Amino acid sequence: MLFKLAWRNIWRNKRRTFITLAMIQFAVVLATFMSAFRYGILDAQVENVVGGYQGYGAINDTSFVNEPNIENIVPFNDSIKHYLNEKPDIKAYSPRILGVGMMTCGEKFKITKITGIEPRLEDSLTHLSSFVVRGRLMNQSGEVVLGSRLSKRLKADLDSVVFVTGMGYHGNTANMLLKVVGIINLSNLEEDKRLAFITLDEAREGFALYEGVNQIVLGFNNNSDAISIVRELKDDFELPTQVYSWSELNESLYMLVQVNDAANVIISSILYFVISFGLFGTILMMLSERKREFGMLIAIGMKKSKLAYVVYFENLLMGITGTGIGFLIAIPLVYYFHETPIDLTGQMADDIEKYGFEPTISTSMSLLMFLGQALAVLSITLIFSLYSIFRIRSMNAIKAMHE
Amino acid sequence: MNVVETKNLEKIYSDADLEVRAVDGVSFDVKEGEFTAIVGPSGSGKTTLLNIIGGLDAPNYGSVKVASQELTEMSKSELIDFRLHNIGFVFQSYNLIPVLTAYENIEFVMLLQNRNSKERKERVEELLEAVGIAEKSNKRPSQLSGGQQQRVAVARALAPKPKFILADEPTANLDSKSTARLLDIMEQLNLKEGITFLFSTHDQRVIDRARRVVTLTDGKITEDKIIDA
Repeated sequence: MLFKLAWRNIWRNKRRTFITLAMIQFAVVLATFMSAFRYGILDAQVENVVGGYQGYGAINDTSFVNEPNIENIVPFNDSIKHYLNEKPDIKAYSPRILGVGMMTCGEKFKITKITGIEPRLEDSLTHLSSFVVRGRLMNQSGEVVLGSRLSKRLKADLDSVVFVTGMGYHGNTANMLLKVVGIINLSNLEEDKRLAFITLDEAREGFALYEGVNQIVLGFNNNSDAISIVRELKDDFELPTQVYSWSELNESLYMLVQVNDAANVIISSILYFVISFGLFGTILMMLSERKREFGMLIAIGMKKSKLAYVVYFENLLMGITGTGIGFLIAIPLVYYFHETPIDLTGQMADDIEKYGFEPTISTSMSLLMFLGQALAVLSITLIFSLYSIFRIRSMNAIKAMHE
Repeated sequence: MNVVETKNLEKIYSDADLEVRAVDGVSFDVKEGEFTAIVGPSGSGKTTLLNIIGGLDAPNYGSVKVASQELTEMSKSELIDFRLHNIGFVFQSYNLIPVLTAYENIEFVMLLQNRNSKERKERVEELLEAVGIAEKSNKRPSQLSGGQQQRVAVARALAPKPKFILADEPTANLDSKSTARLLDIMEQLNLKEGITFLFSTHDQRVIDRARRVVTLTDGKITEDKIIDA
């Protein structure tokens, strides 16, 4: 009967109920939609920069973090390979030699980041082969794969021959004559403009780095936990070799993530604040409208706690219904923009490209984000509904019946 | 046996510089099976006295016992529970729950008493029959006339089998026909089933049916008259 009473009470003033439900739904949809875009943009930025090339974690020499040059190396021997293979959190790893050189093709030249990799290991980490737009990944010395924008700049195509000259390990001169076997399209546009991949063996010969590598890039089973996983791994290393998370290797991006998180909290708080006033108004209106009835119920012997429970249950039902409907509206809407990103054009697109990001914005489909927003709106509804309990508990039956 | 016993009841409302003695030294008893009307002009303290007897308001001084239990010594929570099991209320403006049907309004009080469904059903049907509203049992208050609503209110007041019924101006909003019908029903319940009724009223039609009339003037009992049948 109490459930029946609560349910019927909800519908006794249909217009008010519909307005309240619409307000809760709107709040859920708007909060979810805004967060989905903010997190979507952020996820894409992190994935572009970190997932595409940098990696969610890396083992470096401590000096490498501030001076990422070829002189700072870490061992890559059977012992460390065994360690990496045995760690359950580590899904993949890729050793890299990172050199810089002037790449020349005919009359064109460009300062290029030459990355020596083991193609199989790199592919398992960054899925490099999936970014190949023409040709293939290199599989032997003397071959090179160029970023698509770099290849355009150099006017180099498949089978073109490029010449690299640069500084090798311990002051050796690096000279390499390489044949282009593949063109890749990296989502990080800045990297796409200056990256070239060669085999690890070619890099060892070319840069005269016969022991160790500059970096072992790590991928984890759950990359979103990379920061905490790396924190736990740190004790396993002896300085100067150390493991770093992407947040330590790319502090500016990490700061951007944090600023974005803070902005999200502020914007969401403003939205929740507005919603709270709307809900509070509705609750006040309901309490005022039914004051006489509440007085009568207390007079005939209904315990205040039971009455408060019925009224709170009404608000709970409305909160859950509104949040549920809002949730159902938000999912397809967010999914649409997840599958159909908005392409930016003009100056904004140019500016974003300068930072190495793709000029598109899409939404995040993170379940946690959906649940977080829905729970936030539901919590606001229930917290403000506590006011009705307070009012009922302090109600005087006679006064209530005479107002 | 006395259902209600009051002794030296006083209720004082004080404002900044004004003190009103709404009930001023009232002592009187109501015996089981009485059909009593408390009468008096507006502001004489009828409703205040009824509120105190009903445990809705507390006196400043004096004692009020209902079914031999002292109400002034009970906590607010105990009073709510006491009202639920011992006192039936009929209000001037019916005060039914608008979203429940006549049947459900009567059943609701028994639900608060945690009575089982079989017992509730039997009692509701019996009461709907007694107040002559069985055919309207599925109607909500807004679909009933004022007289019909007040009959449902009487049935609701009787549902928990209280020690007595307190009715505050029960006929104030009713036309003559509805008033007569309601009074017939209450009179029958009193005579046949021995249910005690205590009204506050200034409606002559109710006073004419009462078998005891207590007159209140300025918060004091000025006359207490037993009417011979």
